Amino acid sequence: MTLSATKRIKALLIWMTIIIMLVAFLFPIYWMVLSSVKTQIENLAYPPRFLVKPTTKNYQVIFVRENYLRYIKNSVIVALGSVIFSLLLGIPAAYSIVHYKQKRVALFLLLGRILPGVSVLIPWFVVYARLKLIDTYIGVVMAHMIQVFPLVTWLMITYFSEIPASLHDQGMIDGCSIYGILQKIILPLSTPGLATAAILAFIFSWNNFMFSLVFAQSRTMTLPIAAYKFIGYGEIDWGGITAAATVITLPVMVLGLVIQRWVVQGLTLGALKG
Amino acid sequence: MVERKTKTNFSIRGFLEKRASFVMTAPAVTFMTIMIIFPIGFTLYIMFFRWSGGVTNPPKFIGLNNFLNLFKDARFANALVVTLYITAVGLLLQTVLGTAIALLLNESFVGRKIIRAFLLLPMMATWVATALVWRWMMYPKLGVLNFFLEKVGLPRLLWLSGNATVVPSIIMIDTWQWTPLIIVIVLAGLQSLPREPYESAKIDGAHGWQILFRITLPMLRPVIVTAMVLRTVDLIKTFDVIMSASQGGPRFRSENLNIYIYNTGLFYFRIGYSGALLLVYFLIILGVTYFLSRQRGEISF
Repeated sequence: MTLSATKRIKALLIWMTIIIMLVAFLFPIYWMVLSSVKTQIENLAYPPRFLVKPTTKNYQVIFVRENYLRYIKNSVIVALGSVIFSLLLGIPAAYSIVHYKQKRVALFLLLGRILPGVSVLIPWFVVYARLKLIDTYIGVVMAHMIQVFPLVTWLMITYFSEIPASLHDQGMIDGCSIYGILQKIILPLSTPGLATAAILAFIFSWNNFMFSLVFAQSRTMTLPIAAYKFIGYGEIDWGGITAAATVITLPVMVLGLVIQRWVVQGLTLGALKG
Repeated sequence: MVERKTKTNFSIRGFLEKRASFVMTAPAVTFMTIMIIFPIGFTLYIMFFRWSGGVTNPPKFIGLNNFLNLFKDARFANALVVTLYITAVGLLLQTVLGTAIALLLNESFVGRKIIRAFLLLPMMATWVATALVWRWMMYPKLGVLNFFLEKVGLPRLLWLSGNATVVPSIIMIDTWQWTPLIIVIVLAGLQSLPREPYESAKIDGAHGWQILFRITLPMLRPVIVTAMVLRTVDLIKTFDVIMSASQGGPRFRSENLNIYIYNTGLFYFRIGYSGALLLVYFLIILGVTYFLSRQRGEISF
């Protein structure tokens, strides 16, 4: 069968649109990486250059002068902390919600997604200031958990509800309590789901800006805040900023590609099913 | 684990077994109650007071004055308009673009998975980081976007520094970041559509556009509306992009409600007034979400 002329033109048009679209969506990421390997002189050149001999100078500034390893450490501590505590709270809750069909509990836990962050931020700022929780890891972790925890719980609800109930009943017959069933039967089966939920939650915490901006000001400063503060230093060092942006985004983009399917599910948070 | 509990205390075991649904959800519910219900209660209380957050100056009761002040507050009115502007235009652009691109992608069978993976990058990337990159690209003197404009013979723009161009620039960044979400959602919807209506349409001799407007789009409606609800809620709450790209400037031209409330509470420390603003803000979000969610079921195109 040969394609008719109109069909071939249509296919060509579709491909051209797709290529234009991909270029548009990927250009800022290319420009970020490119600017980060340009010298300050090359960055301030006009017209801008689209290919250069790469330099690591900006990365030296980031890691040596600006001590970014410290912010990376802070970001990792906060993200890991909020993921681990969210899993500890979220796994039993999610299993109970699925097993006992506690729809109202599920909706309540989702409140964290609907409420604007700023409405939680101001009251907690007042309390944190009194309790001296500002700029402490535990304070930042708790704030991040307001968003990370509902995400983890909802992902685990989706995951647990795909596990056949017959496995649970089998455990019951064998004399296990619901805790035993969760621990010995369900969790070993859910390792891939747990891993993706953990990665996605990690990304959300890693990317968090608003809570960190207020609660992680100096000692616990995370990467996004460090990059944001970079812009205030008088003459703007675009090479340094784009190097910082690259350091922040590269890990999450790689992680995101690994768990693609779940990314969309995480970002839509069960809305597609409801 | 259960064995150990039996030895120590029989009644604890009985409680754990009988009330498992309570025991397993209690820590989660307690955490969320503390983290969320407390701020809501605090806001509903403090909005009747004037308070700068200081320990030595206790909150002073001023009744409904904070709410009356809303009507005299030009910056609040401005923030409302900016929020509406960003949400309405952003939503329209992202929905139309996203749906159109998804329909196109659905036609091509090669490389859809790879394209989808690439599309996820803008929304995965840390928003602050990409907003800073856009700020660089939009830099009026040396930015690459003005270079492109010059190349195609268009005048240079002030982008984020221009009174009229700042909000469109913010919308552009947000559209770059979030159109892919709509593409991915609509694409998933397209792939789950039933085949039968298309087969009967072919028999009836319907052509491309008719099929699109009479069959595909009406069937996609619930999916598109769901995507729109998600985007609306997030567009009303736009924060990261504005904070890192324009900080609400120039001269408050891109200061939406979220940024204004943030500044009121945590920059000017007008905690009581920020409570009144928060209530209005929350009611707007609830109202819009409710209205949009109701559109999902109804069929009319």
